[in-house]
Amino acid sequence: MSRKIAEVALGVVTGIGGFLEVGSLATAVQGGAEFGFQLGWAVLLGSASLMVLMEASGRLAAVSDRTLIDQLRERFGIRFFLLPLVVGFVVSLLVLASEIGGVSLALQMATGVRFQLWALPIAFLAWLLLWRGTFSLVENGTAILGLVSVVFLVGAAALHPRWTSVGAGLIPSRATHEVARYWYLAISILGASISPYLYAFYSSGAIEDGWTTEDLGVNRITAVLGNLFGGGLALMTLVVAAMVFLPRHIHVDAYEQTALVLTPALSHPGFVFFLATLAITCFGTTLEIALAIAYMLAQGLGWPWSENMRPAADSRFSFTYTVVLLVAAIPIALGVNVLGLTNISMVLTAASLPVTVVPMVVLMNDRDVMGKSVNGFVGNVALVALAVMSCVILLAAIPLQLLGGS
Amino acid sequence: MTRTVRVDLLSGRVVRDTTGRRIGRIHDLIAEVAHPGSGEYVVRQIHLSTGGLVERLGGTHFARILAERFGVESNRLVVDWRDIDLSDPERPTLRRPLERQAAVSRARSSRAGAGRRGSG
Amino acid sequence: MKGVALIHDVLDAQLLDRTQQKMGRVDGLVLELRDGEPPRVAELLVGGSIAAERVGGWMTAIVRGCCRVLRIEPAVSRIPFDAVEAIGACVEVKVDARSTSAMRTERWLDEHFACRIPGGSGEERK
Repeated sequence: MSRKIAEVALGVVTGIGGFLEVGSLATAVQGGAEFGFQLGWAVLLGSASLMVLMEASGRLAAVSDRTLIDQLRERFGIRFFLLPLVVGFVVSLLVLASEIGGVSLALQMATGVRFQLWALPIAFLAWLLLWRGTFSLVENGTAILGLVSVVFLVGAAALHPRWTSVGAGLIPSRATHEVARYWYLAISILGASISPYLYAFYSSGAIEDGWTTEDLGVNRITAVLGNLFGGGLALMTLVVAAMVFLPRHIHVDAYEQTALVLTPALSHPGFVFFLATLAITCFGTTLEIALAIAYMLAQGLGWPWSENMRPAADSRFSFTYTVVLLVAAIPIALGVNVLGLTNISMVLTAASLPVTVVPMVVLMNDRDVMGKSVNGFVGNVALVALAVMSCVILLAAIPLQLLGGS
Repeated sequence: MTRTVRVDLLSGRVVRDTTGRRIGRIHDLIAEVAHPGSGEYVVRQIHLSTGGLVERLGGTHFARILAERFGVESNRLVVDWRDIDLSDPERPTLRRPLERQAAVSRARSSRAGAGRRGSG
Repeated sequence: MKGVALIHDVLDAQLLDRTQQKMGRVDGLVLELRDGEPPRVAELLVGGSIAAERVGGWMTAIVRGCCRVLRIEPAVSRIPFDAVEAIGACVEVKVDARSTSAMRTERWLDEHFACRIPGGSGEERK
């Protein structure tokens, strides 16, 4: 029983510490700076959607003893599987580059050394941790260190926002100005929260941790609470940005501007904590995405895989995360604009959701896969609604990127 | 001369009868042990799906699973190995026109054989 | 094992060798057609070029092109169906993966990449 409690606690901490990263920080800050509390509903919708998808992919892994990627290949065949594989690979690579960019920028702001010079050292450090570390080390380390992001809750409280207004923002409303930009940011926030690599990683993690049908309760609580608290932190980030940037009419164009968002509330420590949050959460996500991409290829193609195995025992798997980290570091080393890259990769992430969410509707209802744990009515309503939403986002993404992107 | 055919290339192929009429798509091939105690497996039945638009869009899995889950009958045809010519994987053909098939039976959407189970 | 649904249960399934090591997925399945007798399930095929053929001609061209550039032959492993021991969540075969070409790239990377970097080899579990 105490083991279960420890697992739940760890899972929730992972959710909290893991929720914020370069994309959710950037989109929440821009959302708050330009539309105040109005986009709070997008953060809420994003974390609620992630709860549904993570719980589903965790349950799938625990019950069928295979990951989401395994099932996508096995149930739908190689021909269909290429689509989520290629799309997932490309989009995840872009997000990975953005995360490395996030860490690089944090270090630039801390040390004065240009961010381009940090890209390869960061990729190397990430690689080293994956090479020598185990899955628990990666999962637990990033979770615990990621708790530094709680500073946004502290900062929000210190600014004494009108909480009723924050609450009002949780209800979807129409844009009062710049409609295209409003919906563009809404989709970016959704893409930042609901990243396919996240629930694919989560289902691989369920296998790495040896989950079985006995862990379904742990899975449910972890998925719900972790994303509830994590989403809450993203919301606090939006609140802080709304209180600090909107009154001053500061339009965030570069990531460096976001660094001062906690300073009015917490003065110099606010700046330090912001940099720490940016660096740590982005680095943790760097490790996760590199692993997620390696999981995608290895599982889809049937290679041996596990972060708990020595790299030589699963050499294609370890080679993949090595190459992917190197390739993702290159655009940052070349000086690509990190905020621009982040925004584009968040929109692309949102647009790529249908290729995994729609098949999940099928998988979660397949008795051969799920046995007695097939989706019930409520689960299906949620998942189908998500699938529909993801298709709408796909259709809207390109027009909005053109009309609302900066 | 040994003639061989790839099951993976047969999957989803349209099956026609001798008059050229479209019957359905190859959904699965069911193999059984040839003789008790031998390790040899032979194909006894071919399952065709005869559904409409969703299946034609390549969604045989979608259609079948949603049908099973929500009780809607999806059309499945079970064909004996003798009644189908698989030698051209791009043009599998029923050896007789559909009406004269003695061995054809319409099955409710249920899978024959041992399926994959949870822990492995 | 009673009736086996070849496409649903065998195709695309994870293959495990004698030592329970993952050795790829069942990319293809070969039937031997015989006059007057039911088709015999002859062998399992494992290989990127096999999977590519299922995707389409363009994919086959890409895989063949990559092999030409790297100056290697596409690796295809043929495993006789009578080597199959169990069909469940995975397909288990009485074969040692190292004796097939299914793990060719894995072995090459093992020798030329993983083992050349400190910490790469040693006890299988960290």
